[in-house]
Amino acid sequence: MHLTSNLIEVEDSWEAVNDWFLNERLSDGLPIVPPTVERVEKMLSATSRDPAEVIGSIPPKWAPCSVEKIAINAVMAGCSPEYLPVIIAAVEAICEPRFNLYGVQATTGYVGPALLLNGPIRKSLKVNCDSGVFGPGFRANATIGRAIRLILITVGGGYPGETDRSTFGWPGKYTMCFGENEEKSPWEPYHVEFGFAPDQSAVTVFGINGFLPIHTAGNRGEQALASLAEVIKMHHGVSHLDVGSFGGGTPLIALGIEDAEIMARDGITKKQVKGYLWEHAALKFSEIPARRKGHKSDEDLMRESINITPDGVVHLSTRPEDIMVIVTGGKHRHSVFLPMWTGRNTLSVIKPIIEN
Amino acid sequence: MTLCQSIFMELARTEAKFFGLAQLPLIEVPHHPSGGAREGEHRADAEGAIRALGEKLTLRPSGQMSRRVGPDIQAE
Repeated sequence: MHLTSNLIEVEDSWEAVNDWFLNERLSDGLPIVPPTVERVEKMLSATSRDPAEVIGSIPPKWAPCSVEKIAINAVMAGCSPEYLPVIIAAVEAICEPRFNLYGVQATTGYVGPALLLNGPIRKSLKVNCDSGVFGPGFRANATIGRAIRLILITVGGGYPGETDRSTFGWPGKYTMCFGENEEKSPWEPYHVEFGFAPDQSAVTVFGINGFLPIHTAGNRGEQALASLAEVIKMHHGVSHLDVGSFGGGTPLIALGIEDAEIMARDGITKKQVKGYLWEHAALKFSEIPARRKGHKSDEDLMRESINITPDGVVHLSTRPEDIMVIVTGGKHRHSVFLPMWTGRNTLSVIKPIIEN
Repeated sequence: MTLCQSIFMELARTEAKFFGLAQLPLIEVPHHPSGGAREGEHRADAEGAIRALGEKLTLRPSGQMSRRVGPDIQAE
């Protein structure tokens, strides 16, 4: 196998290697697994793709990200070789223009890529889709997401305080990868909505900038949905309308399995969940104080914002179908709203995972 | 020549270096559009940027500029 990356010679100790990566700002701050030639070659054995194949350019450096570079970062993150096809597909996804990776990397906001996995690969890689799905304890979840972050730092040059201008960052920028709990969902899996067969595997990337837990209320499906809409509506106005932050994009709702069960039991479909949230997790334009409208006039905002309907309502997204709904996690009445970075600045992208 | 809001100056300098343009002239714009600028500060930013642009393009201090640069903005 022919590798083209520079070989760096460092004292043969775990501490020296980690110090080198930290000093070169090629680390996320956590200890890394030293990417030796042997480890990188073993990682690459999980794909038949040419190590030199460039998957995309990673901003703000706009450096070419080859399969070899992905493998190096996967080793550093602690990935098992069979994770590599997922990471390659995720890099393809974040490099799609609609994801706006340059903005995601450089903004003062908090956004980072979050990876949703669907299909049989969740089982073969033991991706957690159940209790504690957004938390620790599972190698695939922890290291696949981390590999993406390391690629953004080492290949893209997105370093906090320099090129990554995020005011706060957020813990999801270390790693964020999770699976849909397809087995316990009453509805069709997320990727099937987008034309994939149930037995295909797919990764979807979302530019997520937060996490709003919602303990839903009521013992009927409609009540659960209403309580969800109420809390999302409260979150809705977190920025200025003139920069597109009131609505837009492809916001993600992660329904806990119990909320989804109750809704489905009472005859509510996933499409109806989206329609209800679009209609009710919304604000009247007239209710938004002027200070939140930024520097533009009401007339300009009404004309320019694609999320305001002619009846003067600012919706969660431009269209009901742009609200992304998944079912994940364990039991009890918890769901999560994962807002996307400012409106349409970033849009979700789904890609097939090719295992070979 | 690139106009850049203060928050992004470090990004701009670093990115310019990435592209082999370490000497790229940057004009700093102090207030972010969604920041806390007071009345008139965005206008002052714009006027300042136009002055700096003129200086960098002509390599002359703004005091030697005499052409009109906008409907209401009379550079010295």
